[in-house]
Amino acid sequence: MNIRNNQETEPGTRHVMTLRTVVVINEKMKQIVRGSNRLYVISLNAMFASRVTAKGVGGFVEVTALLRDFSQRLEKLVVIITQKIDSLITQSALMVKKQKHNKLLFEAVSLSSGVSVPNHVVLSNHKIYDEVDMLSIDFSRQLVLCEKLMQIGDSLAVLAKVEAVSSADDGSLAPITTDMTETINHISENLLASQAIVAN
Amino acid sequence: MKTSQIIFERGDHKWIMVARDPAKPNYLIDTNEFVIRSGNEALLMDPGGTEIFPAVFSAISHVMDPTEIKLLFASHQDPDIISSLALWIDFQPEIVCHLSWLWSSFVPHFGGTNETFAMIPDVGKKFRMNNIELECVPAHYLHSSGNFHLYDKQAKILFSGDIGAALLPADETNFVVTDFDKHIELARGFHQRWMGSNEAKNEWCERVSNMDIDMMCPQHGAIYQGADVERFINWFADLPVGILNQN
Repeated sequence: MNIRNNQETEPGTRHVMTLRTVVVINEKMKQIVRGSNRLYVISLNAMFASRVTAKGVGGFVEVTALLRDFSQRLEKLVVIITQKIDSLITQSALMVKKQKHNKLLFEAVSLSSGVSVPNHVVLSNHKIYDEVDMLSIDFSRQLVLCEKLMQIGDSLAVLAKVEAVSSADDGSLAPITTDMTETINHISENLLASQAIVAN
Repeated sequence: MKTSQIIFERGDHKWIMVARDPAKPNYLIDTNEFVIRSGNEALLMDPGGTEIFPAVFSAISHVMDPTEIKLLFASHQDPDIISSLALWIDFQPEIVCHLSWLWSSFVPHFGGTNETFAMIPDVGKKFRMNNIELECVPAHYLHSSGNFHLYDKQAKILFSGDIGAALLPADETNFVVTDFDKHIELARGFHQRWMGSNEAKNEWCERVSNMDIDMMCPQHGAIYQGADVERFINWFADLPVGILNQN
């Protein structure tokens, strides 16, 4: 069966993320990767700093160790997310290529009488849209996981601040905890922005 | 998937090479794409064919934001050079492509309108991109009758299109020529068959031997660096071209 001017399969009639949107998300992901690397370094610095600073910082040392583990987990998850976005970029670029070819084909068919768009074209359209859809859904799931992980990170940063204040800190831990909080906020902002773009 | 690698970096001035795709079907010739970035603007040289657009786009996205690509440069009109034009325009409708005037009504068959093209006269031209000046160097009849290379004086890099091209084995991973004598044998047949004019070749050799070049980047094969640049120019000057080997 050949399908002529089937609205559902015509290029551009099914809603998927555009290549430009995926690129915007990818740039946010790069920010998250940088933030995650930075958080690891800050956590390590915090551990070293707490060893040479005032007494009674045991709680702070424990929290920063947890934060270091957290940043490692975050980094692992970010690697998975980066792989997903890489696939999404490639598939979206492939979709742009297909859309361009299909647009010309559909235009040619619309100008011709008794000529139909071949079935294999329609099927391959479905396939590429489905793949982009599936990748988008998978990517969204990973973002949700990342969001949950970030909630733990938020709590740890707050805890680190509390521990720094309650210890006999000579003032050297305060800038570190501020840096931690800012980095975590920065990651969360990029994550939320990515989720918002995907949701739209 | 293609790999991207920064080959030059000074402040916000960068050259990125996109090359080597093990997943590429063997019926497609392997190509190198190069990006020059200055500040938040970038120029993509010989963006490649339609078939490799996803691989090129993805590799570029790894190292930079592709929305920064505002300019294209097409050394000539071949499909492996610029048939992806329509796809780049879809992504970036305002993109401008620098191209020989000779192909002004041919390349739009791949896509684009009058506004898309910035024509290069036969004598070449210079243009600026943010803080850097780029020079379109004539290389007519090498191999195309309207052919240009792109020279970045600050980086001392010449993008040399098909000159310097070598047809490398599929498992070759080096981005840079490491053994000139071995490498040049993979370039010999290509240059003898594709380059049609000894006169044009000699003119080009004379022109580029007066230029200060640290790296010569062809569209196929690997980069010639340091002393290998001069070695290549001397080799090419001595090579008879326009040879049809019918055996």
